[in-house]
Amino acid sequence: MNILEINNLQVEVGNKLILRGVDLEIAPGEVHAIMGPNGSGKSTLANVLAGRPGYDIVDGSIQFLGRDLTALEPEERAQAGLFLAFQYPVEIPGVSNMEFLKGALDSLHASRDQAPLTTVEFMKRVRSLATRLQLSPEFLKRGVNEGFSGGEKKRNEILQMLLLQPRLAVLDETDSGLDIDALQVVADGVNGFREGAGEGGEPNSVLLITHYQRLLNHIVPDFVHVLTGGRIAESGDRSLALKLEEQGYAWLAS
Amino acid sequence: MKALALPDVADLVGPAAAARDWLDEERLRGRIGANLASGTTRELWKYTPLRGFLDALAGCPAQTPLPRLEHADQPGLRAVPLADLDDVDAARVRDSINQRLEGERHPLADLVLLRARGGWLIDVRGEPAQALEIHNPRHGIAPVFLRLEAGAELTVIEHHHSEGFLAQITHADLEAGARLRHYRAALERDVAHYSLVNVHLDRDAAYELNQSLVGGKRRRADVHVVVDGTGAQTDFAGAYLVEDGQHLDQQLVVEHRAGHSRSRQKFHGIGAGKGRSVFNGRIHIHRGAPQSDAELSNRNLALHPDAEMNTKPELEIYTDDVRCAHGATVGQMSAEALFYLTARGIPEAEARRLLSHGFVRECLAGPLAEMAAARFREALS
Repeated sequence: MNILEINNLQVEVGNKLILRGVDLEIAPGEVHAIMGPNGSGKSTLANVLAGRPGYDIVDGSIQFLGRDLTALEPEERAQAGLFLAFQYPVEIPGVSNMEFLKGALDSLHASRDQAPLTTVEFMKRVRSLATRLQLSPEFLKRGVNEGFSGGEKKRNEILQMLLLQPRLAVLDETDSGLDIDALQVVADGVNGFREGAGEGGEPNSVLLITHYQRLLNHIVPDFVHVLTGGRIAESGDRSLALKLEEQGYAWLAS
Repeated sequence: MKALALPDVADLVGPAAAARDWLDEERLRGRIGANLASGTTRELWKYTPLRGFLDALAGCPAQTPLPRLEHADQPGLRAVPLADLDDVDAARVRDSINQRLEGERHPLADLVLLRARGGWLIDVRGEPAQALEIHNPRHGIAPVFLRLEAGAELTVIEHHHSEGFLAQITHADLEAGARLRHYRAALERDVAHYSLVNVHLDRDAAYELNQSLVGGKRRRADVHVVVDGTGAQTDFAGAYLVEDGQHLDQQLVVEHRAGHSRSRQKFHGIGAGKGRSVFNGRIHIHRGAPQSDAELSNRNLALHPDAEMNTKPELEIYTDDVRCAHGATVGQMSAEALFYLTARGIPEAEARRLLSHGFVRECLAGPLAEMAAARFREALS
């Protein structure tokens, strides 16, 4: 079974049609990259998958692991195994990262009738992820993303992804604002995630939304799609990304 | 203009007490009638019926228990009941009241002092090792006068266990370079509580306040800080919550009378039920206070459709070369933050609880923060 199947997806934001019929299939273990110019609808696709309010589906369907994704609330989508790494992670002073992460993991476990981790187990897991993503363990006591640099916020997104172990991770411009070292840390995290087996032993999938080819040097995609004008105008393998880097998007319009 | 229907001043004040050397009784009696009836008082008591406090005060027994002090007996601290002051100390308290308690703005404080039969003077020298803990009485009148000598440093932790009516005056004089950290939590329901924290800062002195409040039948919490010396600073923050049927009125004033001074105010409040919250934050920068730097932020979160939340920042600035920022909002929960939490699998109701709790938690610090956070968490669950 495919992880994700999008058919003829049409989405309005504030009465403006942004996605004009998107088709996409993602099988277990696949990494798909979506590239495209500003305003082409890349982030709209990410947000509509995660269920952000204000994005109205006017036609088409989204199946996630065989379920109608559009019928699910954002928390149910996360519980079902969908993860969105935010382009702009939100700062929430007053709610500690510890409280947030434990709350999220406990909610996922509860939704699957699994016992929550003990605090000790939880701390051990989070500390080890923090080390892997080069975040100081001190970050747990601070407010969610509070005072984090752009790079720390993005690494925190990846930490959440690794902690929550979704089946599909949608990374919305996770590479923007990262220096080369941070990019490598994030890419290692994503590559590890991809290889890690999900439920039923099937590998996890990734949908990368990016402006730049450089991330794809670190996370090698199986497919590259070009989104322009709300439609996927071109699909191909990794070489398409290189072509885009050399030639830009103009050739697509002709 | 409609005159306030006030009881007769003589009835309010009651019979003259046995001599209280620490109080200039004639002076306070002389000003109180006009001050209670003034337009300023009408404005400052627009949302909270003054009459209710006057009646409660009139019904207060003459002798009420003093606040209980913990760790008062340590090097650097000297606590003396007001009734036992020698002439020198009595004169000092008298001078503080006469010169540093603004009768026109705080006539109820005058009245509370006129009816007070006891209280504490606490002198601080050096840096006492332990925090001074003040346990307020369950009801009654509780004046506390603190004086921090030049360079002294003290932490005060103030506890409330009120059951009825409590009128509380805390006055602090901070001499040059002194530093006072003040933590207070008044989280009881169903009380009538009037308090004034009145602080005077000399050169380079610093006063920090962190408080958490829950509304009462009537709770009025006033803070008035006069930054009266170059380089002095004050920083107060707090969180509050108003539940069904509760009333909370906070009037905060920071006066910059000297330059190169700094003040910060950050308060977050939640309307969790059909109750009323009032927050007035006033920054007054006097003439001749250049390079004053003042910030005030008050944010309110209305979680209940019938929660009434009033907020009003007031600025009065008479010096050009200053920096002053203020913001006051009443709003709903951030949709962005809510989506972030739910997108991680946290159910919406739980996400709302986390966010509203975080909103008040953000303004809590110090030794009472965990207790207050638990009280807020309970109220928000």
